[in-house]
Amino acid sequence: MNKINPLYMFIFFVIVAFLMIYKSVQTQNNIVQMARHNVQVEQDGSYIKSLKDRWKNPKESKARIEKILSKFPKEITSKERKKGTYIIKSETLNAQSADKLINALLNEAIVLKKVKLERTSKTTVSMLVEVIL
Amino acid sequence: MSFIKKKPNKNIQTIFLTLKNDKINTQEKVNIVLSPSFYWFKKEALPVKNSAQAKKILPALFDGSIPEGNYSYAAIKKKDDFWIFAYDDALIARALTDAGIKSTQIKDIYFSQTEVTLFGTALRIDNQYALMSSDDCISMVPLTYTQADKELQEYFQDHVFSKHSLSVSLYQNNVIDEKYLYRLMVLSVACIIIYLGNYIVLSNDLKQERIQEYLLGEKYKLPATSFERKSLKSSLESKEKRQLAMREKLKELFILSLQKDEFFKKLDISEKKLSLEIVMKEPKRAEALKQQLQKIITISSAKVVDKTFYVGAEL
Repeated sequence: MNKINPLYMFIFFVIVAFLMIYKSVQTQNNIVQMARHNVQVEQDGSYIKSLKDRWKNPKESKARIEKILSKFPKEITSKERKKGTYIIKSETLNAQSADKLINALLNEAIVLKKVKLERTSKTTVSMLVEVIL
Repeated sequence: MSFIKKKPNKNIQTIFLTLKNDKINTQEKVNIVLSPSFYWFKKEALPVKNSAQAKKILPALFDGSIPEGNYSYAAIKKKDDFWIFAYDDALIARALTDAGIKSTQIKDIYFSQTEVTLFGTALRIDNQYALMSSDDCISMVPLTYTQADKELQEYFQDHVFSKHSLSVSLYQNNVIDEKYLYRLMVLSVACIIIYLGNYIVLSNDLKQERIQEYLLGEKYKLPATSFERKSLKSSLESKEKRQLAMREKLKELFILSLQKDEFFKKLDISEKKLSLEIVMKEPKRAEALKQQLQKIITISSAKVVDKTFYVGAEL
């Protein structure tokens, strides 16, 4: 059998060596990019989670509303749950209670769909708050 | 060592190469049989077990008995001894080039010694020379020294070649010396092995990063693509913005400066709309109230009926 020309073999090995170096460098760059990407994903993930917890967490929202309402047992006339919303009604709220209740609801991370306040008399208001769970 | 006989391949021409060959006009594959002019041959009993071991000591065995030069060596184990050969690759390559045979055409190259078996007869090569055997040694002699009964080409027509083809370097590297090429090749191979190892390790690291990405997605329950994540983030931020804006509007409305006996009769607010009914002290107050409200909301409708100011706004 005839020997293969060592020059051709050398060229072949050099090409393969360059390919290996290129793939190594490329993979290294991919790792760096991937690592940066993962840092970004972690940041985004953490941020999105906090947003979701505030504005897209039905269980948490319900718990927050219930906690507020538990502080105003006499003032709340009705509370009903309907198709992903929570409707809170109060027929006769005095100024002080209305102020406290509305402040409590506004300062909580719950998605307010509608707030309706109506003066029923000189000293009382009725309130309807619809919350999306 | 026993021969493994191959079937004669009638499609491949056999060329007997001598130092003075005419140009051979063929593009077909050929087998080359070297005349004894191309090699030195000895029969010796050697203190080794096989051909591979024998090859290592051949340079010493031929040293001093053949002219100085750059030789390749071959050894074939026989029953009681070894057939050993020394040959010059460059000489063979030159002869093939002179005969017009390209290296790509050559199937195999053989020694006459291994391919020709003569029992008292001689083979006629051409008008001047013949091949004959003397003490198991094939040599090329002038035709006048012997009586040739058969033509050499006739002999090779149905000849089944042995497995003892030789390895010949059919190139002449003028660029770099062969031994340096082999050293550079070793360096290249070492480089390949190192970077292959590196690549394997890096591939594993990359795989770990991809797993990490997947785990982060699972941890934060994120959508698969960055486009979807961006979209989700955007929608949640919008929602937050609208909710905070709504609260801000309400707070500002609650601190709206009203005169004595003025009050909100009705307030109805959602993320997109607001309607307001303000009972005023007198209808002329509407303009002043409107100006205050315009700092908070974008009024879309406003009308006064008696002392009640009806305001509608888009948020």
